[in-house]
Amino acid sequence: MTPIATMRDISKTYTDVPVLDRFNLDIAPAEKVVLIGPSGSGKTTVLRTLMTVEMPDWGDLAVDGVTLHFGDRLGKAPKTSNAVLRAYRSKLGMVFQQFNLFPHMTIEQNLVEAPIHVAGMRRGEAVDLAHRLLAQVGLSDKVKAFPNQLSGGQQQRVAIARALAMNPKVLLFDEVTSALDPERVGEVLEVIRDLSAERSVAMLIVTHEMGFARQIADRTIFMEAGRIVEEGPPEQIFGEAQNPRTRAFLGKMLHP
Amino acid sequence: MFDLEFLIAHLPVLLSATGVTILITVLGMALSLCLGLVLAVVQLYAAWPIARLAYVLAQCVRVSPLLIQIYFVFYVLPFYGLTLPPFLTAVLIIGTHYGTYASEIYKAGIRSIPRSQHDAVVALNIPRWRAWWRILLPQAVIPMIPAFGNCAIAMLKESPLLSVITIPELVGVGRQLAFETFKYTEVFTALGLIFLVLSSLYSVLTRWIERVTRVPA
Repeated sequence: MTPIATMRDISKTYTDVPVLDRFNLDIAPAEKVVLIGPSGSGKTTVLRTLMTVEMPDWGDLAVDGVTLHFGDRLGKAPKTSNAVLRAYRSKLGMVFQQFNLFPHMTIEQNLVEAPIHVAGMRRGEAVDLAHRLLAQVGLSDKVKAFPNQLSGGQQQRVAIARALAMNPKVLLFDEVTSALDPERVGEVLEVIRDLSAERSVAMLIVTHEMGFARQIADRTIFMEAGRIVEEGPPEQIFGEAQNPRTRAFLGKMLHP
Repeated sequence: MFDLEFLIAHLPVLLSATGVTILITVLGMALSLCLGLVLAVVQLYAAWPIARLAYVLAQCVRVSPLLIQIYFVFYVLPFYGLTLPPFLTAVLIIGTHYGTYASEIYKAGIRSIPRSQHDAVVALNIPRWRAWWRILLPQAVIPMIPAFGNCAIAMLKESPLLSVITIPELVGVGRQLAFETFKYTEVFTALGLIFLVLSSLYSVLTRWIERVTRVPA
C-alpha cells in the first residue's frame, strides 16, 4: 500500500550535534506507529521535523501526496513555497507534551480557531464540531472555561480535540503524558485508544508508557542516536527483541 | 489667605488647559503604542542591518532629553524647510520619545512568548499574520499593560515641557496665570492637584484594562 507519510533521508543537526542522520520512515494509512528509545535518541525530533515546526536540514517529506524537498548534502533545494508548506501541514496534526493551548482563549475558541481561519468553515459549523469533539473527549462542560482552569489531563484532552478538528491524515503525539500527574495519565491514554479504534487516522506516537505502546502499536520502532535500531510488531519488540540494545532499553523500562 | 474665589473664577481656563494635556497624552500614547510595536518588530525580525539601524536610532531618541528633541524639531528643522504646527509637533515628539520606551517593553514581551506557542500555531497551520494578531501578540501584550500604564503617567508628567513650543497645556497656562496675578499659591496648588487626579485616573484606567483582559483563574 502507498504510505500516507514518508520521511526520506531526513537529517537534522543542532549546533553541530547531528540528531537525525538520514532518517527514513514510512507510515501506512491508519497505521499506529510507536517510537520508543532513550531520551536524546531523536524521537521528538522525528515528530518535530515531520510536522515542520522544525525544518530538516536535508531530505524529503511527503504526506498524502504533498512533498517537501529540502535537498541533500550536494545542495539545498529551492525554498518551499508557502502554499505548498500550508497544504502539507494541513494533512498533519500534532499534540505536544505541554498541551500548548492558547491561554487567553476559551476552550471553544481554542477549538474553532483553526477550522474557521484555516479550513474556512462557517462559525456555526465549527462550534458544532468543537462541541462534538469535546463530548468525545469527555469535556462537554468545559466549553467556556479557560485552559488554566483545567487539570493537565483535561488540557491534554482538549489539545487532542483541537488537533482532530482539522481532520488530519496523520496525528503526531509527542510524549503527551510526560507532563501529567500519574493519576491523570490514564484518561489521556484512554482517549487516544478510543480514537485509534474508531478513526482511520494514522498515528505516530512517542511515549515512555510501555504498556500503552504495546497495546496500541501496529508497529514499534526502537531508536537510538538518531537511527532506527529495530522495528517490528509490538509482540516481537516487547517479547523477543533481536538487538541487545533494544533488550537493554526495554529491560530498564519494564523492570527498573 | 488662600483665594478660593480667584481659583473658581479661573477654573475654566485651567480645565481647558487640562483638556489639552489629556488630548496630547492620549494621542501621544496611541502613537507610541503603534510606533513601539513597529520598532520592536523591525528590531527583532528585520534583516540585521535594518534591525541594527532601528535599534541605534531608537536608543538615540530614548537616551537624549525630551526638551532637546522638542527644541530640535521646533526650532532647528524649520531652517531646513520643515515647519510643523506646534500641536502636531508636540504629539509627534512625545509619541516618538515614548515609542522608543514602548518598543523595549514590546521586545521583552514578544521574546517571552513561549516557543511552545509558536509550535502550536505551526501545527494548526494558522497563517502567520493571524497567528501574530490573534494568538501570539495578545498573550504578550496583556502582561505589558502595567508597563504601558507607567509610560502614560511618565508622559503626563513630562508634558509640561511642551509649553516651550506654545502648547497651551496645563503648566504653561497656569504659570502664565500665576505670573500675571501673583496668585502663586492658588495656581500651583491647583496644578499639583489636577496632576494628582490625572495620574490617579491613568492608573485606575490601567488597572481596569488589566482586569478586563485578565484570563480568569
